[in-house]
Amino acid sequence: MSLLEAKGISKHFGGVQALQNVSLTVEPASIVGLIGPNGAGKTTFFNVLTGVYVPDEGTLTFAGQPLPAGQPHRVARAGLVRTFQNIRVFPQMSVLENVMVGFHGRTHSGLLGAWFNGPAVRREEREIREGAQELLKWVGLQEMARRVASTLSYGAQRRLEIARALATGPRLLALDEPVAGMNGAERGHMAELILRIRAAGIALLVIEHDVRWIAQLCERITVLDHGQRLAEGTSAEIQANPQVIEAYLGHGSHG
Amino acid sequence: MIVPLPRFKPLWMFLGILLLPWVIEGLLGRGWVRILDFALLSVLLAVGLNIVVGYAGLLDLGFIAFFGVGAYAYALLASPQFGLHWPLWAILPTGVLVAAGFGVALGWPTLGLRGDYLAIVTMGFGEIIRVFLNNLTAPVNITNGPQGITMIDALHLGNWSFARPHRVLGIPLPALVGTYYLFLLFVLLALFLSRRLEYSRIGRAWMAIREDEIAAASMGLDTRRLKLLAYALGAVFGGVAGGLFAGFQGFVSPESFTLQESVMILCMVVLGGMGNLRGVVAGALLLAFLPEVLRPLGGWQQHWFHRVLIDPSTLRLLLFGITLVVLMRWRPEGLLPSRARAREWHTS
Repeated sequence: MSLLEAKGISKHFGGVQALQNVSLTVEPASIVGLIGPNGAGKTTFFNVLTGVYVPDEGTLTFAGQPLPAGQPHRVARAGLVRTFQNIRVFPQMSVLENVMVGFHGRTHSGLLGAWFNGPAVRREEREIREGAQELLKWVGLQEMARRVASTLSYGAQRRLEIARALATGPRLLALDEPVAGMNGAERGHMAELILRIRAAGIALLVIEHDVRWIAQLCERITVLDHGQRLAEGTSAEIQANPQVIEAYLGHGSHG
Repeated sequence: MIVPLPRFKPLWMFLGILLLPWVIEGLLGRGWVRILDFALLSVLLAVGLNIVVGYAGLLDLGFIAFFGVGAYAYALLASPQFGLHWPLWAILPTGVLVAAGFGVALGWPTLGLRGDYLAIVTMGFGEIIRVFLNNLTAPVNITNGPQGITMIDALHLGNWSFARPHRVLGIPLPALVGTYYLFLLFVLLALFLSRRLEYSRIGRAWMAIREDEIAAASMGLDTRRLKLLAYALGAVFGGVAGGLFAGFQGFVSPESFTLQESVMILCMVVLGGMGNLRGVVAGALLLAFLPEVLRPLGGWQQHWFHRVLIDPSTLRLLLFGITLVVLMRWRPEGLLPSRARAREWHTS
């Protein structure tokens, strides 16, 4: 059974058809690429997927269950969690606190727990803290745990976003342009991190512009253009697809 | 230690707080002990609003409504208005529930709003409550309109009335000092509960919402529920303060719950340092005392110029305003800001 099945997703804003009949599947523990020119609808698709927007048409099935439309927190709790193209860490919280927030949906202590602060609550807090430290080590930010998130470098903030997302215990991690603005070495580190996440049994859906970078990672790639699915196939198929080349380079220019 | 406990205050500070009303009475007179009592209610209000504005980042300009709801709840349950005379231990939980209900009811419609829009809508709600208090006189006279409700039972626990002087271990305990200790107890409890929340899973979630609501929701935080919880809790603190206010003052009327009061409490929180309890307490005490300190302006003018040049109450407001402007110009993050606020103002 596929982990994620999006069927015939359409979404329009006023007169603009942002997505039209887009379908996509992600198998468990696989890496799927989502590429396309600027304005192709990739981020809109992410927003529909993660409950930020309600689709006009189409169905979303995750691990056999329909995804709750328009309810981001329930999507995240179902095991589908994302990062953002324009990084959205909690800027004034510490790096460790950022990741600790990720554990919220998996933990339970409430108001009375906070007030009485009994042994169960203290144990849970300790587990959250240790889990967060573990994840920071995993993405290579353990030295930065006490820093304020906004003071981190761009690349480090992307890693922090991923650590925070992993804290929710996802089965599918959706990354929106994880290497935008990064240099070659940083791209290599990110690719290595993505492969490690997959090795841990978590599937990934990755939006990216750089076809060559994503082709080395993904089993399958879906290409969007003008809100429609232009092509779907293995990395090699996509790179050889004349339609895809045309969408990226324009009519008859570079041959 | 996972959750930092409130830092243990040195003994002398504790003694200072206990002896404060005696010292003030000795040095400045009984009137100032009354002002001190009211100042403690301001602290209670500011600590409540801090949950909403400081922790969860929801700009609320109608907070005084909950103070009003609490005050009228006490007034209606302990006055000749309906002939009810409930004891404090029964009024308090009722008032807590009523205030929490109002917090949720007024918070609910604002869940989708942010920033300026939220401020305007909450301001409207604050005014609606006041207008209701002014007009709920027909067909059944509930609030008694602008005249307000009088002859409210004094705060009392069993036979112990806080409106009368007592003698404890041979030491005379003036009513106002007894009230001070009662209010102090509530303030300490509020500070304790607030502090525990700040360093809990819930407090962390509120801060995440304050920083970036969309990212918070995407990480599995039920932002609607968390925001309603902040509104309800803030309202409870405000409502309890209102109940104590009604019992202390003996009468309530709608004019105590105007927009200006909401703004004043917000000033206490912002000026003291949003999100930081010490700052909020300092801000509340400062703004509660400042107008009183400036009260004898007419007398000073008489003394220096042998006539009153500017209407004292106008001058008082002017100086008050100037103080706020100066403070905000030089310390925009507040007197004692939280770590995060200080960074916000000084890193970028």
